[in-house]
Amino acid sequence: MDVLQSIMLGFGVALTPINLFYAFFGCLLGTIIGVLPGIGPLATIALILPTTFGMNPASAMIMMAAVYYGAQYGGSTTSILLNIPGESASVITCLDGYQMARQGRAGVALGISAIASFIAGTLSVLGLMLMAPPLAKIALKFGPPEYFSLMLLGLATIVFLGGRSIVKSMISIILGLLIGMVGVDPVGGVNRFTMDHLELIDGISFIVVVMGLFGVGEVLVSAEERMKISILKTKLSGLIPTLKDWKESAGAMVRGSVLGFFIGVLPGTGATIASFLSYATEKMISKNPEKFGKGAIEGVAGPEAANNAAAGGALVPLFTLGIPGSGTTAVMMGAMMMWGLRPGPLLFVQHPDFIWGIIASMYVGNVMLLIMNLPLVPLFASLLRVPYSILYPFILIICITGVYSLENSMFHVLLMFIFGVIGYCVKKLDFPPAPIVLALILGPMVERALYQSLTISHGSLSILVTRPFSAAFLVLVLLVLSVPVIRFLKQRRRA
Amino acid sequence: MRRCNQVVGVLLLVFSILVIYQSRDLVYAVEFSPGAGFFPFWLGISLLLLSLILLLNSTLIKSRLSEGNPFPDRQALLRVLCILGSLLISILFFERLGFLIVMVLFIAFLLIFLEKYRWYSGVLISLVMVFAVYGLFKIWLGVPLPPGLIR
Repeated sequence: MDVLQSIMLGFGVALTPINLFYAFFGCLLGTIIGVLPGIGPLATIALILPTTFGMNPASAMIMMAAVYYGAQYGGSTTSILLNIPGESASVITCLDGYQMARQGRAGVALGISAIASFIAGTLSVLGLMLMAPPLAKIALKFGPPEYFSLMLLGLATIVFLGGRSIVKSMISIILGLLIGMVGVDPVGGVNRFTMDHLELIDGISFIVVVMGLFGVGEVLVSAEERMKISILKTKLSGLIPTLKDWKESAGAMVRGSVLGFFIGVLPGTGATIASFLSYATEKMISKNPEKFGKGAIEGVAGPEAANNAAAGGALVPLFTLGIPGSGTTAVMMGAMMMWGLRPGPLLFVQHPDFIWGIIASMYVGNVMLLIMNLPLVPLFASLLRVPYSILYPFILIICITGVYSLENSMFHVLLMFIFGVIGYCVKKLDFPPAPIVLALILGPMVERALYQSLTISHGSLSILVTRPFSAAFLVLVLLVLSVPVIRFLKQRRRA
Repeated sequence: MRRCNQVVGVLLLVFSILVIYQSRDLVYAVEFSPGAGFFPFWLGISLLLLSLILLLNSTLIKSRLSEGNPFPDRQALLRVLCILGSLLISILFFERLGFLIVMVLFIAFLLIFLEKYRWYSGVLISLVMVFAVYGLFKIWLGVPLPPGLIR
């Protein structure tokens, strides 16, 4: 089936009333949680997950994807109006966005970030559409050794890019892998680390972990202080940029889109890194870099394009390889497995309506978001008046109810409570929490892939280096891991 | 932060030894391939090494990143403990008293005692919130929630 035919099939799925509704709902929810500081797309997708069990998987995934890219639209609003990023991917937008707002150009800043998001979102869906099928075709030839090396690469890059301390990122990953070990092992069917609890035989569900770490844990961190939010009092007029604004930001948008997309495709990276790199690029190639930090429109357009494009790019490895590159896509992948779909290249063959329905719905969703965000920005900005003191009790009830609805067992709710405490400590101590989730979902897959590889090769590890793709991935792993060592040695020499 | 890193390092060290000890009860290798104990054992070893690095780093190297105390002052910590305590109590009574009663009490407690809402607005908000969640999960999605005392 060629791409054109496939995308027509996709629009057939995406344009049904029920799926249009879910796309709209997802976009709305995504924008709202993007605007609200203290709750991000990862937690939100986990929170809505228990509501999707009775749904058609395509509708559910359309909604989740919409939350994911919708959050990138909403995140810029708080950055511009409050100098508080609604999302980690919008941190960099604060620099010039807030300055623009202080100069009375809040409307233009919000307008250009919505437009940049739209252009980047659309370009990245186009990229996803063109890049995913050929990649899936290559991935169909992959066997367990290739998957093992590829997942190792994913884990290695998230270590390298995860947080400020590489040791702490690595510890996060190992903790995630260890949590994934709980339950019946995939090889011999032996119980591991169940501590004689029957409830643990099936393993610890990623929903319990995510709700604990990102629901309860995040609430505790944010609720420490009573948040006082003061909105910049400004007229939100002139949302449509002038011709001069267009001229200044058009290049930044396109560069941000392309950069963001490819960074999103790489495992272990994501919207946050994409936005930082885009800002750095724009500053580097700008003719007057001194303008940056003082309200340069390129400094808003570039990063906002990049974080949206990265959200689209991040879906490429998920759909084609069945390997998530970030915490958020890891949760999406966990959701797909719960619905009984096996993420990976076979999806394109076995469930083309599912895959192409989601891709087509992303075109629709981006249009919805543009319409929602341009005229309705004042409405979303007023959402900021919803105090956190009302929001966090609500998040807590959803966490309890959502986890309880999984198995109707209080054991899992208590487990979530424990992970909530862990999440609070982990964040306070500067351990990155997203790698824990990623490793938890990848862990059993890594183990199974190694087991299958060694069964094929009758126990010889050489199978991992004699197959060309696998060897290439392993070389990349070594390269990625050597970067921090080289950096460390260089610092040593300088000191 | 340095002291925190040291404490965490020691805790992780103990935890990793526990993991290694436990994984020795599992089969390390079966014919041709690793057994149930292979991964846990090596993960335990890696965690052991990493926690040692963390310990050494935080003890020997003074870095900019490790300054400051990450935990908040007493008042903020009290707020966190208050939320955690009431959450734990609600979880423990969740099945016995039922979803509606426990959740309304829990939210009202948070709003009135912690966030200093007036009692009537606290009660009203908590009722609206709990019934919204009840409607979503119990009525729309048909999830069985513990009825408790209200049958």
